[in-house]
Amino acid sequence: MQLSSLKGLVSRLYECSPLYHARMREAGVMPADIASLEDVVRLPAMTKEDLRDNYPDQLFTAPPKDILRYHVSSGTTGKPTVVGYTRKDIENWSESLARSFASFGLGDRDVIQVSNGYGLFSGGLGMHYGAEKLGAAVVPASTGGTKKQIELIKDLRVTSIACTPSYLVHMNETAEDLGVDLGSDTMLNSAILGAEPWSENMRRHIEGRMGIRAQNCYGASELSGPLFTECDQQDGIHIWGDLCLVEVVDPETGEHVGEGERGELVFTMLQREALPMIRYRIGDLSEIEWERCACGRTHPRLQRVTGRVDDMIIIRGINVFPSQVEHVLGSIDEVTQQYLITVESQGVLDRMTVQVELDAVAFTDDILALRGITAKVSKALQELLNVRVEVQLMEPGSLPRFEGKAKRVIDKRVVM
Amino acid sequence: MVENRTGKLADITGTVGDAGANILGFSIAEGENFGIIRLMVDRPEQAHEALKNKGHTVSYTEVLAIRMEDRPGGLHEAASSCGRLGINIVYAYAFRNPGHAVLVMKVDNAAEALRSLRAAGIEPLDHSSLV
Repeated sequence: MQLSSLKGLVSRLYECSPLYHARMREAGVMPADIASLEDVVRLPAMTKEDLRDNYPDQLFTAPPKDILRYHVSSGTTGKPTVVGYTRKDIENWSESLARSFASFGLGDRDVIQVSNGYGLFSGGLGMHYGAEKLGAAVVPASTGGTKKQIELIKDLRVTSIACTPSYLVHMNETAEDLGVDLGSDTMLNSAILGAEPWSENMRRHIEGRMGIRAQNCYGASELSGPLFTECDQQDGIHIWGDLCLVEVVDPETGEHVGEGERGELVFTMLQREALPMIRYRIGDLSEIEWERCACGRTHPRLQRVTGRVDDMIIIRGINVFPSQVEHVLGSIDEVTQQYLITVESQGVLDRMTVQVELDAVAFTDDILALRGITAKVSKALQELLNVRVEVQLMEPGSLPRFEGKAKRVIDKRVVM
Repeated sequence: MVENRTGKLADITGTVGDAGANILGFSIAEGENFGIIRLMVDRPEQAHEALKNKGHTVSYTEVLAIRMEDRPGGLHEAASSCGRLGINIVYAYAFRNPGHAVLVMKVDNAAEALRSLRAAGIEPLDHSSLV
C-alpha cells in the first residue's frame, strides 16, 4: 500500500510540480524507476528553503478552487512559509490524530480541551479537528487565560488537554495556588503534549504530580500540523504508515543511518494533495523503532526528538532561528553581526538573552544613547520573533570568535 | 567602553601611560554589562591613537571645565551658577589642582552653555590652563 501511494505521489509531482519535475530530471530518476519502497532514496529531498523560495504557493499541486485552508508559520528571515490544505488533506490530518487519540484510549465520551494556539499556527485547529473526528467534545480554549482554563476543565468535565508541556506545568502551578488539585478535583486524566522538546523526566514530573497520563505528540506545520502521538504503551510515537513514510538519514551525507541509529528525520507524506512533501528533511534529530509495539501495532515508532540539525531553538513554543536574529541585527547600523543567544529557564518559562557587540563607530560615552540602541534592537527582535528578548550591548571584540562553525546559541535550560 | 572584566582598567591606564599622556581627571560609569571610562588627558590625540591601536572602543567627547574655589561651598557655588544659567549637566566629575578645584561637565548644549557662562563672567578653563 505504501508503495502504490508513493508511486502515485511521484507521478503526480513529476507531472504537476515544475520544481520537482526539474529536480527529478537533474537526479536522473523517472517515476517508473520507483519499483520498490527502497527506491525512495533515489528521489531528491526537499527542505524548508524550498518552501520559502517558493512563497507563497508555488509548490502547491492542487488547483486553487480545491484549497480549503491555509496555515502560515514564521520563517527564518521574516519570510513565512505557507501550507495549503484540500478537503482530503484536512480529512487525513484529522484521521491521523483521531487514530492517535484512540490509540491511548480516548473516545467519543471524552471532552478534550485544546489549549494550543488557534489561528495561523496549525496546532489549535489541528487538534480541534482530530478531536471532533474522534467524536469527542471539544473545548476550544486556545492559549492564555489560565484561571479561566482551569474553571473550564472543572465545569465542563474535561478529560484530556492538548497543550505544550511547559504550559501544563504552569497551569498546574496556577491551579495549586487556587487550591485546585487537577488530579483529584477534576476529571482530567490525560494530556497530549508537544510543540516543544520535552523529556522523560518532565513526563515523570507531570504524571507524578498531577496523576494524569502525559502523551507525547509529534508534528510540524510543513507536514500539516500535529499528527501523531504515543499509544497507551508510551513507547514511541506511531507514525501511521498509510499516511507517511519516515526515514532517518545522516544529516551530513543524507545517507540512511543503521537501524536504531539516531539521525535526521525525513518524511514523505504519501497522501498530501495541496502541498506534497517528498523526502522532506525536517531538521529534527531522533531515531525510529521498527519492531512491533507491545500494543500490537506495526507502524514505526518515533523516539524522543533530542535536537535540531540547524540551531533552531524553541522558546515558549515559538520557533526561533539564529538567522532571524542575524537578519534583525544586520538591519541596525549601531550594532555588528557578532552576537550570542543565551536561553535560560525562569521558573517554567524560557528567557532569551541576545548579547550583541556595538559597532565601534557608534560608540559614545552617553549611556542614555547606548540604552537607546539596546531598546531599538530589543524592539526589532521582538517584532520579528514574537518572543520577548533581553538585549545586552557588548564592547566590540568581547564576544567569543570561532574559527569553524560559530556557536551562537547557549541553551542553559533545565529540562525538568 | 570596556567589558566587565578584571584587569581592563589596568589595560587602559597602561596604554595611556605608555603613550606619554598624563591623566588629569577620570571617572568610571557602569552600564548594564559594560563600563564607560572617561579620561581627561593632557595629550588626547596620542592617548586616543594608542587606545584605538590596542583595539579599545574609544571616542572623543566635548566637555566644559570650570574652576571652583577649594573650600567648603566651592562646588555649591559652581552648581548654583549652572542652575541659574539653565545649564543642564548630563554627567560631571571633579579633581583638585594646586590652589583650586576643577569641575568637568558634559552638558546638553556646549556652545550655548559656554556663551551663558561667559556672559555671567565665568571663564571656562582651556586646555593649556589645565595641563
